[in-house]
Amino acid sequence: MEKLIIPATTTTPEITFDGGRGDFKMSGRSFPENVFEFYAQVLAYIDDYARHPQPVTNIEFNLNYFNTASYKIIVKMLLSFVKIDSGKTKVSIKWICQKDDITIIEKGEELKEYIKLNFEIVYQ
Amino acid sequence: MDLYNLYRKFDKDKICLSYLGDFEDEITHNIIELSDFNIQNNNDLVKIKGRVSFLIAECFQNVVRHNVDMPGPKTGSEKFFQVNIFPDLVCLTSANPVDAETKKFITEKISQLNSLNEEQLKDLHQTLLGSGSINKKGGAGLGLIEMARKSRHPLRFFFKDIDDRSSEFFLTLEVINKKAGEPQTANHIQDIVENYYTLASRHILLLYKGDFTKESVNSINEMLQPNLLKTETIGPGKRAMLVILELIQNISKHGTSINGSKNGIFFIAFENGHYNVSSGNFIDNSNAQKIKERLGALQKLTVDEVEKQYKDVLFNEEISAAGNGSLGLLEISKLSKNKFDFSIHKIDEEISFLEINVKL
Repeated sequence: MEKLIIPATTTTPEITFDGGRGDFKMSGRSFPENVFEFYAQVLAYIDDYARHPQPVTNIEFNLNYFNTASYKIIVKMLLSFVKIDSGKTKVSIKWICQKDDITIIEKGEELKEYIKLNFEIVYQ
Repeated sequence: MDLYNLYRKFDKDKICLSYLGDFEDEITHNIIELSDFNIQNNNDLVKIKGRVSFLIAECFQNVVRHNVDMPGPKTGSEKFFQVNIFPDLVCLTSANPVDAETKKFITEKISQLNSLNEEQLKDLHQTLLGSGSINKKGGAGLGLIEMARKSRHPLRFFFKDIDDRSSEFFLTLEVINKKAGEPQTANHIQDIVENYYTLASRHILLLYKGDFTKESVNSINEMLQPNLLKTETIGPGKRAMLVILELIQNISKHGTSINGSKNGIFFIAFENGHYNVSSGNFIDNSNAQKIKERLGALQKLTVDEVEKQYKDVLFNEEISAAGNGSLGLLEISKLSKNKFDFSIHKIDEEISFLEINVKL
């Protein structure tokens, strides 16, 4: 599976997805005017990966600013991984945040509570 | 009606962007991008885009360089930059405190420059460049000469005394596409000065009045970088930025379009340790009651109830291109611990003006 690499802009995150290795990284900011336009290929890549995943899938978020529309997309992405966890692959998530960045920590805690995956909040 | 009155002050402006407070060079780029975008969309102004970008950078330099840091508490005289884009001209204003010596120098210099024609300005510029005479502030007035040459219009200026040693120096540059004819709109410097004091008295750091259609929102979002407020990247400053992003999205998705423009306004203010974020936009009267009920119901929720609804919408509702349910409003309520208010003012038989004010 080819990699998906999208460089960061002032309003969109850096995406580094390597389906061949089961590594998915997203970092930076996310508040594009239209989340669907930006995330269409990202979600499509995850759908493709879900058909033939690696035995281990590692997901890493290192986001410092995002709007609620992006947050909904993150939830959608994670729910796609929930569907393949345990059966086809073992999914682990790292949610990286500054130790005093309450808004990002809270988001991580919300996701950890709801998304039934191996979810670790990593404080920097 | 408060925000609507402020909106009306910029009635003739297609776009108004005001920035008060601490200036950093990296912000210049963001403001130039936003101005470029709005000028690009206007046939009469597109030819002056290059000059405007240059002058924005010069104006910023002017504020950063020719400034005295006032000792003691804030006097209400802040560093200030404003871009007003009209259908037929662009007006750039900077303001900063200066000492008496600089005031004298500037007054003489601008009076001299305004008396010269294009050719004479060019000669003076070359003479000064060749002489190597640079003053302690860095430029022998070269910046002012460049402004006069590039704007091709007399420099307008005004000093408002702060005390017997210092004044607030206002400089306005008008850039006109002369081929499009004489401009129908012009901003008198006294109006700008008056608006400046209105903004400063309300402790406004950033104000934008203009279009919120999809393309514009892209440029606004690009301008709204986390370091824009030059505050901490966490805590209330960050929450204020997140709230403004949601309010902008809200206007873009749900505001009423008038003659092809979704006009609205937002500002961020900082007073007594709190941020105030406000937005205003037009809505159809047919939706006014529904919006009133929705916001009213949200206001009555406890912090725990907001939390519960937020999670319900986040995890259980499908996202759609029309918007993400009420997640944006719930986020605003969550970030502000439900400290927001709103009002809806009927403008005519078809539209009303919705104001949302959030305290953080």
